[in-house]
Amino acid sequence: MLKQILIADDSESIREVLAFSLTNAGFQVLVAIDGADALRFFDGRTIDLLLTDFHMPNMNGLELIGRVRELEHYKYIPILVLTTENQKSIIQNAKDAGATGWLLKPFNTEKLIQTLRKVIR
Amino acid sequence: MILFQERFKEEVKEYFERLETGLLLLEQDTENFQAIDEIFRIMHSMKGSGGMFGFDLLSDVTHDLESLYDIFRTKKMPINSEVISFTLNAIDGLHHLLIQEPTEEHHLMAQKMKAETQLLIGKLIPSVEKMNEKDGPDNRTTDLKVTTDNQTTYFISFKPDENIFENGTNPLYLIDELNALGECNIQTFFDLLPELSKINPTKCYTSWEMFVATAEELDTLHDVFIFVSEKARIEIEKVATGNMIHNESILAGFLNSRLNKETWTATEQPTVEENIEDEISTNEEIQESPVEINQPEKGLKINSLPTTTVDSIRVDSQKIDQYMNLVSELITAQSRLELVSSEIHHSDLEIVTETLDKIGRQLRENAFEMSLIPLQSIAVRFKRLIHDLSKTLEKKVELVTEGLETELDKNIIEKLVEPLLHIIRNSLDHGIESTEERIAKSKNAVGTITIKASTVGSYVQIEISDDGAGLNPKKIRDKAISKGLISEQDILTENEIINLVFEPGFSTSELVTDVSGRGVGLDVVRRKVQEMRGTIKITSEPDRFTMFILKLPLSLSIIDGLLTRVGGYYYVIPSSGIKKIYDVNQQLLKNDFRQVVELEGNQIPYLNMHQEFEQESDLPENQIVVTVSFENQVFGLIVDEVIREYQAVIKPLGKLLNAQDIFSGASILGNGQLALVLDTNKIIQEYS
Repeated sequence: MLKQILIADDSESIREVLAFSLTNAGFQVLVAIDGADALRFFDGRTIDLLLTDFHMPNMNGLELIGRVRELEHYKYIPILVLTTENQKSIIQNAKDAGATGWLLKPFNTEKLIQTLRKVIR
Repeated sequence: MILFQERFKEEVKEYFERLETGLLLLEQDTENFQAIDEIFRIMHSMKGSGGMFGFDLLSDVTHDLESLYDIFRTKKMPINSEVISFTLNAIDGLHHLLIQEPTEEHHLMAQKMKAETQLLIGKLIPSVEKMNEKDGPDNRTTDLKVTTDNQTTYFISFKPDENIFENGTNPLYLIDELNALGECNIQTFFDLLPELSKINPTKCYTSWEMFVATAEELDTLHDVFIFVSEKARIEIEKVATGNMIHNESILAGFLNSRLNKETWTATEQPTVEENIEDEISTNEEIQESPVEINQPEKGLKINSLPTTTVDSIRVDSQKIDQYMNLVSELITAQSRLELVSSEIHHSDLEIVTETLDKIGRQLRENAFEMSLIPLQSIAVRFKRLIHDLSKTLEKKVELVTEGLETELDKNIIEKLVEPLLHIIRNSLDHGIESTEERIAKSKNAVGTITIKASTVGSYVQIEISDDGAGLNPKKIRDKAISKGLISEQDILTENEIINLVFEPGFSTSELVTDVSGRGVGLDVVRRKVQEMRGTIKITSEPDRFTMFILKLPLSLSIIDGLLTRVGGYYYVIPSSGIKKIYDVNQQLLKNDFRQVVELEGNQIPYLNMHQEFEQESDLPENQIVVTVSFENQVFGLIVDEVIREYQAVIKPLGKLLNAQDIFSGASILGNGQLALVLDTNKIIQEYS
């Protein structure tokens, strides 16, 4: 079965690039427009990876990660934070909240897949 | 990526509007942190995405703007008007930077914007904190000069914390990643594994040691563990230059020195020693089979996938145009079918034709509704203009809007922006008085501009009014006379007089101001509105108000009309202008040489289209007058025959026909013939 990846980002173009690249790389993609929207998807279905933006309206990435980590079914799924902030503090916050890793913008497809391979097959 | 660049541009334009909305909110409440947050987020998004899609300058400038807003955001500092104005200006600048191949000028502009932003940041924080990010997200060993051509052998020890699964890491993937970097010799340690009954499946008890021969730099190896640097003990050491993965003596030598905590000097040349086989046996317990780590979420799947509903989707406007086009082709084909069907007289065919006709109409309606967008979508530009202008003119103005949810064809909306902005500019500049003047007139010191929209039949009416000085008919009349637009003797109603402001070459303000006196007058506004088959009127009461009333068709591409024939050709007269239809015979027309026909006691000027367009063939004995009206003027169009009502899908005429303006387009009839669509307003202006 194809691995299912949930994307949460408030930028439509980023969502599209991600969805396009990931679909091409053989993943199944779910798309959410913000944190609150993303949380809806954690309803029991299989989500193999969450790829979330940091700054989003209606629940930011940090809160989303925290909430997902509280969910029994999704406690251990890999979560990547999509961010331009390569300041340590922000990545640290994300990690403290339970993020597995991060993906820095700008990224190309190659880098995206390479990063993904660290946490999902 | 190119695929997404256009989409990104669209998105940025949306961002700009949201930014402007946010800034205008901040103007009213400088402590609206929600708005500050939103602006910060948008800047952040533009920065990130801009870089991805190749808009580097945009990304660069928004980076600093983001930092600027980060200060207000994190310090919970109210914003000030200087920053608001600055940002509004910056948005204008960003418009220009939304290009992929910037010129020198763009670079300079970006630099200037950055410098200004940093200056502002500097002002806000006395000791400017370094907002600039460092390159690396993590501690990185400084450059080790390793040539990429040659491989190097490294030793890696990877001891994950037992709770490493908690953040979603699967250590095996990291091992796999290393494996992909070069040749590996991996050994797994289970020495921490407790007895079965004590195993907690959510904990990690395994650790690894491996040799990797790779052409990659040391940094790349560290990068493999970048996500787990705090959740594992990682040691990476250089063993030797070159691929030593099969040289057991070196590997064993390294392990031995490690065991004895000796410092290992990376071997530069392979040393051939055969005497350390004993030591290798010390690692006998090492097992080579890879470990299966349970992924805890497996087995917890619930197979119900609730459906999610999507309220709206975005569609490329080009696709909508294409869709509209196809629908219009379908309607044309359908008309043809109707024609064929009426010749064949087959009852089954007729039923199908009728059904198709019904569906075609519904489809048309549907396509039409799809291309409608609310006026609201351009409202932010009005707000922005009023904000900017009221500053420049030092007038206090409030904008009141009503019914902006009214929808119009997107093509009309696009064309409407300029005329509406012009009218608002006019109202602010000429209509609304200065604050002192208003107080002297005992009016509210704050002027009001009202934009009201509503749907009236197949038209949308937009009223733009200001509660300013109003128009002075006497002044306008004098001016019109002095400009030679009318003569002293002309008797005009007040209403006619004030509508003279739409005449070319008319400008009421004695001072040509920077704001509306740009050489573009209201005549251009009227022309643009008329191009959209709309009308514009003005009403006013001195010292009370001036109101512009625009009437616009809902759509440009489909109209209801009357299909008529003149000689061997067809013409469509749009229903919107039609008043009545009369039979006339030549006697009645020939009697009058002033080109007026008497109908119901009224003398009506007319154009005999047969005479005008069909001089070869003789005038038929009986003709038909279709009366049309425009701005209270009634005019007769004389055609040979009225065929039926007709829904015309208008196609533009080619470039070669641009010189004329009495035909607004053409429509293809079901029988494949062409029908020209008359622009009755233009005909009335030109022939009466």
